[in-house]
Amino acid sequence: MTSQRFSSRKPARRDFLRALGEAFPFALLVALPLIWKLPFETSLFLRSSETASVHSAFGLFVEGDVFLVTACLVAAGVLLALRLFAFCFRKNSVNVFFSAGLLRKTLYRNRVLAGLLALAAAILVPLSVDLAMNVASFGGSAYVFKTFLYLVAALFAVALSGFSIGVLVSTVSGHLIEAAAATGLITAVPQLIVSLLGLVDRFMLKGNALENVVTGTDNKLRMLCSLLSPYGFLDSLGGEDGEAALTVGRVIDKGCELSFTRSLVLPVCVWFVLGAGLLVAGAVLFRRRKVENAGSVGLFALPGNVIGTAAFLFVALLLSEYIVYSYDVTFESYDELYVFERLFYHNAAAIGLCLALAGAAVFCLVQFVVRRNVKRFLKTLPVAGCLVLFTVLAVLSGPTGHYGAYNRLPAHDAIQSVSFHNVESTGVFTTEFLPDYSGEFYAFESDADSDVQLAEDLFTLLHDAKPYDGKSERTVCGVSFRLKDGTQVARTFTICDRETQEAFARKLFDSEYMDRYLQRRFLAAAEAAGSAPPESGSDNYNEQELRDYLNIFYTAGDWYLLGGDGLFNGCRVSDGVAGTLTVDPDKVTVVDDKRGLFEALCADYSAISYDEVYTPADRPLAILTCEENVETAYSADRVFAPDGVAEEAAGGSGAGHGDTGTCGREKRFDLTPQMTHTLAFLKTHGYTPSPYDGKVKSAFVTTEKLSLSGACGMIDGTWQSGYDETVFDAFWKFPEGLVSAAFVYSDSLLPFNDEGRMKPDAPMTTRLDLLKTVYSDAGSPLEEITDPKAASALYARSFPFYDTYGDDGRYLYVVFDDSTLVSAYLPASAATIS
Amino acid sequence: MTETALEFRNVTKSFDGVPVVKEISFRVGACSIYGLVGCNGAGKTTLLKMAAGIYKPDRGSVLADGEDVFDNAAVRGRLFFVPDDLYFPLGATVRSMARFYADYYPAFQEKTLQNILNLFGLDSKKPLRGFSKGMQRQAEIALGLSTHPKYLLLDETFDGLDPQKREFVRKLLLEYAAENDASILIASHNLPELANLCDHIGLVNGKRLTMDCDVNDVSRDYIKVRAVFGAPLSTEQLDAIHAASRKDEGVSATFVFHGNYETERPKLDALAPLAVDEFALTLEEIFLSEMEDKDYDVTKIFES
Repeated sequence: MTSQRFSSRKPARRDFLRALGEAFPFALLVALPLIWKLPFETSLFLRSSETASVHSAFGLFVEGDVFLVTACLVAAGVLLALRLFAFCFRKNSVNVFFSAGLLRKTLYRNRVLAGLLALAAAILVPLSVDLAMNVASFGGSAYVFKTFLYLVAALFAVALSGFSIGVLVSTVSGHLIEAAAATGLITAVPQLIVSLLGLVDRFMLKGNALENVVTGTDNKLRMLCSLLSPYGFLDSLGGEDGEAALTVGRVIDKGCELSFTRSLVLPVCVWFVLGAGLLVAGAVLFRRRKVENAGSVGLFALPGNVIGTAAFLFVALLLSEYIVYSYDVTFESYDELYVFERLFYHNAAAIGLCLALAGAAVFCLVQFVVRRNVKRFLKTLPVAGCLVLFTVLAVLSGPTGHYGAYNRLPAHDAIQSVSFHNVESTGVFTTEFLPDYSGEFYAFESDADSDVQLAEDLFTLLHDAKPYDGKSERTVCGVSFRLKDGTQVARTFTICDRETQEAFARKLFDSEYMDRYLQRRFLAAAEAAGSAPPESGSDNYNEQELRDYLNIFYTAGDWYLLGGDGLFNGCRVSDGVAGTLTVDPDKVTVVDDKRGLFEALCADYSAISYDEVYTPADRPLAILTCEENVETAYSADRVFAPDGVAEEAAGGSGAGHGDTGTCGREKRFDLTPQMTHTLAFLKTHGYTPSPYDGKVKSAFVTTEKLSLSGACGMIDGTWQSGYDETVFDAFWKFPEGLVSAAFVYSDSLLPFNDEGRMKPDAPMTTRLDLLKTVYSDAGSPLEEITDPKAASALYARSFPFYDTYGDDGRYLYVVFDDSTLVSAYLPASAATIS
Repeated sequence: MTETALEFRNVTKSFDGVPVVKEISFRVGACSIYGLVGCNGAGKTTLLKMAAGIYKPDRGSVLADGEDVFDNAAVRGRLFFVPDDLYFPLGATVRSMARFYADYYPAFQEKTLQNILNLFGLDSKKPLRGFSKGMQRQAEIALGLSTHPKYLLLDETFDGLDPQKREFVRKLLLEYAAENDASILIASHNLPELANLCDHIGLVNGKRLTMDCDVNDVSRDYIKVRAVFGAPLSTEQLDAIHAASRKDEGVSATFVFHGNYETERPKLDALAPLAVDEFALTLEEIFLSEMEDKDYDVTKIFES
């Protein structure tokens, strides 16, 4: 029973303590997501032996789930506010509290103070524990403590936003459910508006559509979001300069700390001011509160409709974004783009229509249930009609890029920089010099006016090209524009006509952009030459990744100069004709001065033209290649020993894209006579290419003109290209790659066991015999030219790779007197066998 | 009336633009129990809530010892409101509610509470939500009286109480008002209870206070007279007699006079009644006679 001493206490103080008692259990709601993201995951992180060496102060929190944690904090702040002011929502509690011996402002002040204290404690405790763990593991530094303070301030501001909005709504609302719904919507409205604007910007204005990736958010929208939306608040961490802050281990770096600070200061300050303003407004409204509305709803009827409509639109847009996203994932998952591309267009339209109708039906149902009046319901039908229209536009605009967005070139003045990319090619171009594309990394951005003009020209070229027909060979390439508003628009096109493909490559290669791009690649390689490659997980690892994406000719190992028969062993790679590099170690020359070598190469490639590189009239005098290629060749399984010459083949590596020595990652240079700088450099350093002195003994020519649907080729015991349907299927089905394909194609002919390896007691066969058998079985036996003169003439007319010479010629296999077998390509104009 | 403790000055209150009470003024004296009566929705609870400082009058004011009650912590610390809809949080007991009220009412006396609980026979440790409505009301009255308020506001206090507890409560309130010089304002439909409890009665009707008088005086002011005539009289003849209400029953008629019986008696006598009987009115009869809409004819409602 209550004792007399309780009665002597001051009601205001006792009320405050009661409010605190109510607030702290709810403060756990605030603390839980932070405990989950900070001390808990940090402890797991620190225990990991792989990552323990990485400085990780608060990195885990900042790294991911920012939106989720933000949403949890806002929601917890709202719930706390509603709990503290729950007495306003029931008539019986209103009677007690508003007739008690306390001023309204005292009631209000006590609850606000209790809430703020609880929020502060709920944020400080987990962060302090995390701080202690970080300091114990990595030692204290000014950056760690600064980061701690910034995070405390930011998280408190986030929670404050939800709390202050919840308090403000509670001061005027009469019902708990109404208050909760209104608060939820009010906190979401800025996010909805910004998201809506963002989606419209991305989908409709900039055309985030199939093969058109728009990344980033408009700077103004991002700022608006961080300033106005409680949920979008911490997204500024991932802003323009916040990229590094999102990386584990980078938060406490000095440079990142600056961007981290910069991105947080303004929104934190704004929300502190805004939160304080809302609480002051709440104080005024609470004093004027008409408590007779306790237990009744309807206060937010009009805004509720508006917000409900906005929420509906948001959901519609979100769904359309989801469709695009999921289909993008589908594209990423499959190589056979064209199959799904066709399906996609039909499905997207159907799904979009269904979504629109379903959304309208839900809207009508909700309106009917809420209004319970046919006349009022009928008045909402035009709104439903607008929603359907908007949804259809949004959904169709998203996946298909209708309304001109797909076709639209960004305004010249809006472009900040440009870059070009070549996603993939099915054997049209050797693309080792063209910028590679991977994910969001673009090869090299340039803001030069001439390059912007080039990008606009190339965009027009690609846009006007023949549409992809889903059957023939294709090249996926494009132009990306970084806009001044902070977004990046990548326009990617799948083109299949040779003229456009070649024109794209030629224009790009002969541009000033390419000169600068190559300079960057070669000079960066020159700088990197000689230094050890960064290890995975080290501080420089990201830099190494960046270099890879930039396609830098970087290798820690040696570069070799190949001459003599090495020239032929190292045929240029392409899908049509390819040779796996085989090197006799006795015949390679190591180039010591790598920096000088790269500078010379840079000077050459900047000077010579596209034609001199891709369709040279002269055969290469020598080949420069790196240790990686040589090592690859020597470490591969031994497959053949034709004619008694010890050779190694890169079994199973194939000639697919992405392997070492394939397009986009090629680390070899054919030295033609036009490459005067490099040749002079080599000569100065005593490296003189040795010409191959072998004599042509015989040649074999494919009897049919090459066609992509029927020809197949086999070099060095592996399938290089299998367009025959049977071989094609086998090629893709077996992870062992080409060797397995060969095995599946005709195991009776090849000395392989079921694992695709050579049978120990299998009869050995020569590579030439193998080629003959394969072509014969494919119904297109090789035509043999036994006359050395005729064979030599054919060889003289042939080219080492076929891409840029057309696709209607024939394969040529030349046998030299030292048993060297060389593959080459005979263009149609030169394929006449006399 | 003794010294004024609570005063309603031209109080007007509307909800969503609909007036609930208009221009109501009355006073509750110290050491006085004032009963508010009126039909449902007349505005009695609204008046009580304005007196408790919960509602703010749209116009006018409610004063306690000359101070405005609304948002006045000092006044409200001396005031306790027992509403019709009681507030008991989930799991609350009399003990926990005592602790709660002790926080907000510095004058809370544990001993008083215990004494009243003993009188009612309530267990302070049992959850209040398990109590019957009457027991909950007893507990709330006990808690309210334990805060030793100078102004006690009671809304439908006798609802749900058995006759014995009603008597307990009546005596408690009388004793409390007398001992503590307190002012009690009580709203109720139970006119007999109010008649036995209050020293003043106010009738709220048509959003206005239509009657405000001393209980002892009101009986003297009202008189019911039944007259029997030799033959039925015409309406014109009866209308000549100015009564607060009248009921014709053929050769007889019943009049209720409010303060004018002496002047109207000669007119009645002039109609040569065979017999005249005079009766004192109960408070309930007075209440009904003052209501605007009376003499509903319900006999034809269920005719087919």
